[in-house]
Amino acid sequence: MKILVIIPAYNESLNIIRTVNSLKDAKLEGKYTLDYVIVNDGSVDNTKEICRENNFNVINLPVNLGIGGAVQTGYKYAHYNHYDVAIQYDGDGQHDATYIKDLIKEIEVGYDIVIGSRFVKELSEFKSTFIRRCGINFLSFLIRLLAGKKIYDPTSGFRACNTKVIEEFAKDYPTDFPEPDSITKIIKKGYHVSEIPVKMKPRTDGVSSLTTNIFKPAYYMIKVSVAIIIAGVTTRKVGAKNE
Amino acid sequence: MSNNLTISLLVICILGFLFILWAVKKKEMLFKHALLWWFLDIVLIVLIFIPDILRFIADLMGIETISNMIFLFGFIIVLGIILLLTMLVAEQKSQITTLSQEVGILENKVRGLENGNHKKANR
Repeated sequence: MKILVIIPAYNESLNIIRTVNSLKDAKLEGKYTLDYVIVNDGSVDNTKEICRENNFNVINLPVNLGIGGAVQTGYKYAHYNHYDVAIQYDGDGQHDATYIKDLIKEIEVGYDIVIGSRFVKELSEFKSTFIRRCGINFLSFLIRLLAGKKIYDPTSGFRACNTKVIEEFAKDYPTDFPEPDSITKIIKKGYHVSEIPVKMKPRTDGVSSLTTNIFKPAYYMIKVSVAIIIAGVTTRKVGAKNE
Repeated sequence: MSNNLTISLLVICILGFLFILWAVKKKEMLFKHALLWWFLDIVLIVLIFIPDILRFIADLMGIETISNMIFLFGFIIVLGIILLLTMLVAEQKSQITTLSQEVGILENKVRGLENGNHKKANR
């Protein structure tokens, strides 16, 4: 079973080596082969040079496409190279590779996409502000309303998917804040989604894209909510007749 | 309309027409967009010679003053063009995204092949 870990990286020179090394924690053996690809999203720091010096498998995007475009590049790479499972794994070291096994197990059970969730069963010690939890709960509610399935952590970027979803994402993936939007589409298309509890680490270096100023969270919420509504209303089940 | 006004408006329209032609020739404008501007230009030229058309349309639409109607149409046309341009931007963004992704993946593949050959040569 060929597994690809997609690591989107934008100016992650401080974290990227640690992130790649952390994949050893996945401890996959036997029939599993674990590859990774870093998608360097036009970084302006020395991410590219660090990847070259360390001989990392990296795709250097010629321009900055944003997180959605970077992750989609990984899915295209997975699709072209016939990987069985693709796993999104953040370049900033927030995700814990020991859970990769659990994600793959769920894919093998038959789910099309598995989300590593911070909020299932309250396992996580992930420090999240009250406001942020409220925001995530609201998105969760919206997805349930429109797609009919409760997703505890729709913003999680730690996800695994099978060949069918890899192909979907290679064809079409949202641009800016892609996780909730894409998960809504996938549910509406009739794919089976599962969520498993994971712990996430607080980021060690660099800053979250959402905390740089106070307008960003508000903009994020509005944009993502509208995106979910549009995705929820316009997406049809795969194979259903267009009327 | 006075002869002087007719002539000056006509000159502006003709200059506009020629400017579009020049832009198309220099490949600074797409032919399909040039057609749109020329069409607008020709409509304006017709209106310069037969301004009564404006009165007729204004009465038909129940608009009292012609200048208001011109502003209305001006706004609608400008908004329409902006709308088309934003759609064009979206189309180009998606083309650029796809191009960048494919270039990145190809570059990764080329680098892999070169390294592979390099290793073989060293053996």
